[in-house]
Amino acid sequence: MIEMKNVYKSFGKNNGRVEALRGVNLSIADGEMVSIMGKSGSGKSTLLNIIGGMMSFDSGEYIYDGKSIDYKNHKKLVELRRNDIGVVVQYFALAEDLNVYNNVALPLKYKGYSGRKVKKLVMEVLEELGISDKVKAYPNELSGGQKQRVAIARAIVKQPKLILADEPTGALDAATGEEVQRIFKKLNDSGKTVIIVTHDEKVASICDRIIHIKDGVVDNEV
Amino acid sequence: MKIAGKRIPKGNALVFISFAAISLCLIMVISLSRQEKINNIIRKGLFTGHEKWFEISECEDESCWDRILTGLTEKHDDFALYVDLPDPEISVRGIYVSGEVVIPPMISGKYFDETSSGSSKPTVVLGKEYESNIISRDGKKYYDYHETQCEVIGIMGTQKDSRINHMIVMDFKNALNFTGINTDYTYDVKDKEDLADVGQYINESFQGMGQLFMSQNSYSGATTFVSFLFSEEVIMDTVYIMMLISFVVSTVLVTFIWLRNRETLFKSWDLCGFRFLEKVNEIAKRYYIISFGGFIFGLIIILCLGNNMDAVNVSVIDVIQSFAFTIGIGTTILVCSLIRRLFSKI
Ligand SMILES: Nc1ncnc2c1ncn2[C@@H]1O[C@H](COP(=O)(O)OP(=O)(O)OP(=O)(O)O)[C@@H](O)[C@H]1O
Ligand SMILES: [Mg+2]
Repeated sequence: MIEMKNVYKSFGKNNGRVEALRGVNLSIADGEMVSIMGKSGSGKSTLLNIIGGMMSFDSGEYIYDGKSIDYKNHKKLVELRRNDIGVVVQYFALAEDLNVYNNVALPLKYKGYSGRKVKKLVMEVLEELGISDKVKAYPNELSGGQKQRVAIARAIVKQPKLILADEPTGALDAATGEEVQRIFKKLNDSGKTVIIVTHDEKVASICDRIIHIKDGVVDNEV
Repeated sequence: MKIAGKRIPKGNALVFISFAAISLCLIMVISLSRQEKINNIIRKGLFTGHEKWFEISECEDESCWDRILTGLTEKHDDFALYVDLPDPEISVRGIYVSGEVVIPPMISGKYFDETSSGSSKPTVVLGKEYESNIISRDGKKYYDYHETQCEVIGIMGTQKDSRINHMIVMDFKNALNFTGINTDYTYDVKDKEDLADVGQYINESFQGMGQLFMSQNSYSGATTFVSFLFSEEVIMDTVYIMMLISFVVSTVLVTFIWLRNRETLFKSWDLCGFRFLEKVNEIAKRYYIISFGGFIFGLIIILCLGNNMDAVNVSVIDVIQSFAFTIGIGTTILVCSLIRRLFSKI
């Protein structure tokens, strides 16, 4: 499903230049559950952002579903995010002005669905994640675990084929972390491809495979 | 802040209040400044304030003005020559104007220009008060002045009663028919510097044709830079421009603060794959309802004030101008920042 060939990505110019990825090669199959691990600053979030179409890259090739992604074409990247991929970023990125319901309904807003269909889809995922009693609450009224679940709900409500999560358990205590972990396992069991960036060995242990990143390249020696 | 269980997002109250306040002040400043310009014209009796008076006597060549005015028009732009009619009831004034000197506030039609003031067809611009005396014939409007049918080319005046509502301005030749050539005149120029030259030309033209007596008062010598800097008009204009700048700056700041408070929303839109036009739509809905609401709120307050205060007299043009300065600038910033977002690396 995903294949990367020699992907390079740097930030900044001249002296301030940081090479975040220096030739990443990897491939992830349909229906796999993979975790990406590595030290802080090794390039994990950057890699995930590129996979999710949220960031362009400098050179190399990214093949998604058999098609090479034109990373210079922002419109194409937007369509990728819009239809195929659900993303949970490191710090949730929930819209503060919107309540839980509207946050989760956001990806469906311009899909041309009827109000009833949107409501049905949103309530389904909220119930599945056990936060249906919080529909009217605003993000700042939620606990970390609840916010994380809202973010997951928003990522999966449009029924994407691929789910990406950056440190989904990083801000949670052990018990809530385990719950979130189970949610991802369940999503994978239902046939979705899941990629999780994590420091948490427990999370990594439930995955089919671990990809280690070291200084911007995939480290095969571990 | 929550109203009826719905969150009022940060910055919205700020945008609303500031747009209300800015539009209120801006409409007031713009309309006061326009009003002040009109008041100035009225106070100075349709003169610039540096006009000069002269008298001609013992002249027998009734048509000499034709020649002199043609010569003067060739040499100078923006001057006017006036003659007052000896009417005990109405203030009636003849005018010849070249270029533009003073234009009174018009209610309809046009004021005199070079062609209409120099023609030999009797024409008038009427003060608002005499509008009811107009006679319509063949699709044109006429005013009977002492048995002379004058075509009405415009109506001047102000909403509230003022001097010019009771004035009549007439083309120069027609006016001379009532006064004769030996009478009092006033000449005026747009640029103070031209005053002496125009005066000298008139003076020389009458050499050997009759007696000309010109007043010596009024304007003396060239303006220094300092006196120019502290002249009434310059200070007025400066204050006006400073106010505009400060309103523009606060519109910019408020819009930026509003954008700052919406970072998580923008991030969410990006994550959900919103297209450019969808983002524009979302922003428009949020920003315009609030800023427009604020603007209307300010406008309503000023209109209420205007009803109770003589000094404030808002016109449609004032509202459009302040609208352009506030919401127009806000929109420009929003669109620029959206376009920047679209083209920057995500
Ligand atoms: N927007 C950016 N501008 C400049 N440098 C960046 C940017 N994003 C990431 N970097 C740099 O790229 C490198 C990789 O960053 P990245 O966020 O991918 O690390 P990470 O592996 O996710 O770390 P962590 O585990 O702390 O989240 C870092 O050195 C970081 O400083
Ligand atoms: Mg990271």
